[in-house]
Amino acid sequence: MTNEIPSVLVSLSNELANVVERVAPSVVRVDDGSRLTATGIVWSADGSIITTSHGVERDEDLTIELHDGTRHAAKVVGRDHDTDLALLRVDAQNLTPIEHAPNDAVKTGHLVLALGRPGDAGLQATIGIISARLESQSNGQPEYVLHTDAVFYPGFSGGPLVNTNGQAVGLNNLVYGRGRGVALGLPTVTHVADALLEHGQVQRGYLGIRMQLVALPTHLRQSLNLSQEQGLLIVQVENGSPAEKGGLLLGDTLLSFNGHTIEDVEELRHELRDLAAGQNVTLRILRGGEVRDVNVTLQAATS
Amino acid sequence: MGLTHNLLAPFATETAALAENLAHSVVWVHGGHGHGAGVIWQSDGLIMTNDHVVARDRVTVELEEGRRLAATVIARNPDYDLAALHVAESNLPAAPIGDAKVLRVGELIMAVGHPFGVKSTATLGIVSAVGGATWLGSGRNSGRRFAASATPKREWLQADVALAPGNSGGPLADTSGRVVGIASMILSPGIALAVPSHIVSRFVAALPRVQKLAA
Repeated sequence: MTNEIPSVLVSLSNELANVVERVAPSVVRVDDGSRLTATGIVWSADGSIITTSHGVERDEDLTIELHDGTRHAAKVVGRDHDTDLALLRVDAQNLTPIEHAPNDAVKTGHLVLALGRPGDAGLQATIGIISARLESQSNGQPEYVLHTDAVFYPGFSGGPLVNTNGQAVGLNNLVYGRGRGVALGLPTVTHVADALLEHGQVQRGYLGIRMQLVALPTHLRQSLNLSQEQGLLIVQVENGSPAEKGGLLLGDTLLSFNGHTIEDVEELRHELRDLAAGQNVTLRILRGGEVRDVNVTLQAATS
Repeated sequence: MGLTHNLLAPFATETAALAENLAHSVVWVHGGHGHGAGVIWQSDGLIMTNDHVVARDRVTVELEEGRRLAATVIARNPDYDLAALHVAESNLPAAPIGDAKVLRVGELIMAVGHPFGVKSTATLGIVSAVGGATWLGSGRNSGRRFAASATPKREWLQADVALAPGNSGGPLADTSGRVVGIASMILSPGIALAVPSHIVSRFVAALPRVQKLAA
């Protein structure tokens, strides 16, 4: 049909297949003995594999199948439940780590491929575009989550979402309906993988308090000129915790965290998730009908 | 590589041309099980479709230009979900046949069919997998549900093109317009399985002499 003139369609098709071939050595199969296998991404040449935590049901006796069909024993080095990532260590050398896409070159509308090795079906790929890039921050660094209209097949969990250069833009995780997927942005994968490699866990900021959502009395809101309607009543301060060292007391009501109004527990969790141990934070509290600021140095959570 | 001029415009032009060319070789099969599609495999009257599309021995096929022809089912194979139809007509616009065995994962694939009764609908995707695949899930095929893992392990061409009932029996083609598979099954949205062209060709090669049968 279009043999006489150079066909864009034919060239594009070949380039897409070339991208798949280029990335293929960095995409592995993760077998945890359960019914559905997962996919993993080669993170370092000396045997680090990153994948989703939910796709790996046990820590030992895992099998990684590489691009060349060889199988290797693997185990979990660490997991991070907040980001649903697990770092595995496989006893193999000279692996091909995935290339990373530059953070500022990942935009809504870009063409992407999702890759995986589900079951015994070999390498599989689907195509789509980045449908949305949801911005977030961690330790002041920009991070993101991607939505894509590329279909994630069963077993694609933990595999890479790559751009047309074969560079990873994210790690495929969830399916949000009709097969379309959500991928964790590469910066998040990188910082969590680094932390898991170094410490076996992600050391997030920890305060050491238990809280309960309470409505602020109208007369206090009016007299103190507070716009928020709710706060978090501190119902427990753990012994030796950063909260105790910082002087927080049972009965204090937390109003804001580093200047951000806190009106439910999730908002506080979100603030803490993005902060590392050792950082100083300022908590605004209500105590005895007065507003005051308390400075706390975060520690690493022990669990 | 290295091309910096506008590629989207020629891309759009070429996909449109591909869809138009392919549609000439796609028929509508009115075979008793609702509607399905078929591919004009040979200009002398051989049309290939899915076994599950044809419910009886005589069906009607509708060409793209609108003519309706009586067709005889000359062979069928439920295992491969294939059926061969013959119409007493020559000089039909047969589709060029490709080779599914040389496809690579990632190559662009176009499907043409009549999903939900919408004539000559084209969808674009990529080859997701080649070779044999066992599936853990269950598939939907013309309203009948069955476990794909319970079907015999066989070769499939798997693509992420959007298919719907009415695509069954229609072609999947490569970027040169060559038919590389016959759409057979939708495992779930975005997981399409097609009978690879070399399986279809093998089936066709084993057919009894078409002309004699039709006489």
